Amino acid sequence: MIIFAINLDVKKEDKKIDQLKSPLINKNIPKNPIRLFQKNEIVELKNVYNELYAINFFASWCLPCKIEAPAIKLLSEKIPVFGVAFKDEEKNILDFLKTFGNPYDNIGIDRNGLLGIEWGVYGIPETFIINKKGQIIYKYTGPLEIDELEKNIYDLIKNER
Amino acid sequence: MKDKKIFKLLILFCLIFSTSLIYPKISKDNEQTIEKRLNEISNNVRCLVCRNQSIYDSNSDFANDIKKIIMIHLNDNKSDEFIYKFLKSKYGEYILFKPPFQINTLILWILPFILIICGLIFFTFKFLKFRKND
Repeated sequence: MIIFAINLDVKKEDKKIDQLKSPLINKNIPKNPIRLFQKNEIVELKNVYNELYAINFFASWCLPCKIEAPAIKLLSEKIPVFGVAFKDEEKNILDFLKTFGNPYDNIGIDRNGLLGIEWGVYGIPETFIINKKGQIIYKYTGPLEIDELEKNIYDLIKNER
Repeated sequence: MKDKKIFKLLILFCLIFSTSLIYPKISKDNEQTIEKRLNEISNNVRCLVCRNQSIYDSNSDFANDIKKIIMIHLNDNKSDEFIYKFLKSKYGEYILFKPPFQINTLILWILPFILIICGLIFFTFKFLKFRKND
């Protein structure tokens, strides 16, 4: 019984750690410039979007990123989604987009993972929602589920609009 | 005249030679200090993808990335406080094993001392009561 109780407690803790409260919530997005995928262009996100949008850190080598692909596609039908390919190779990114579809409005590259640190990323996939003022209003760590979209994100989008 | 020239050349040679001997030592000392600081900081930073392990002990991608950014800051001559503050601003206080001494963490720092004092008072009373009864 005691072991079972401890195990339950550990499992509860697991969930808590997966969704650590980010200190970046309600803060402005990091100013770091991002190199665009397959374009010889470096952009600052605040100069690209002045509307509600999402940022999704993904990688072709990450299994949960494949799982969340349908949810990201649904999200992209509501607001633009900027993808950040995390520590990935160009050829593999293209294969990934070909297989799972390309829901992204634009894609940036984080070759060495340092951009991810600026965004407080610790386990991809991670999804952020940014308001019109350029502040992070929501963060989700792990594969985004359609359930999460329906429970929280759609309401958030509706309220922000 | 010729002797003077040779003497000057000799001094120049000595200077160049001595610098080349000293420079690697300074650079090595600096490298060792930076590595020592990297290890100390890494020991106090929690790996968020491995349970209760420091990034020093972990070889996960996350740990290696954080070590990389700490190294960049150390090479930029940033202080330990700056690095801890930077990590805290990105991941929250949870990323640090040792919570900072501030109002919202005061209870964490004081509680062990309060418990020790309470324990001492409790045992002193018990001991005095025991002696009185004896």
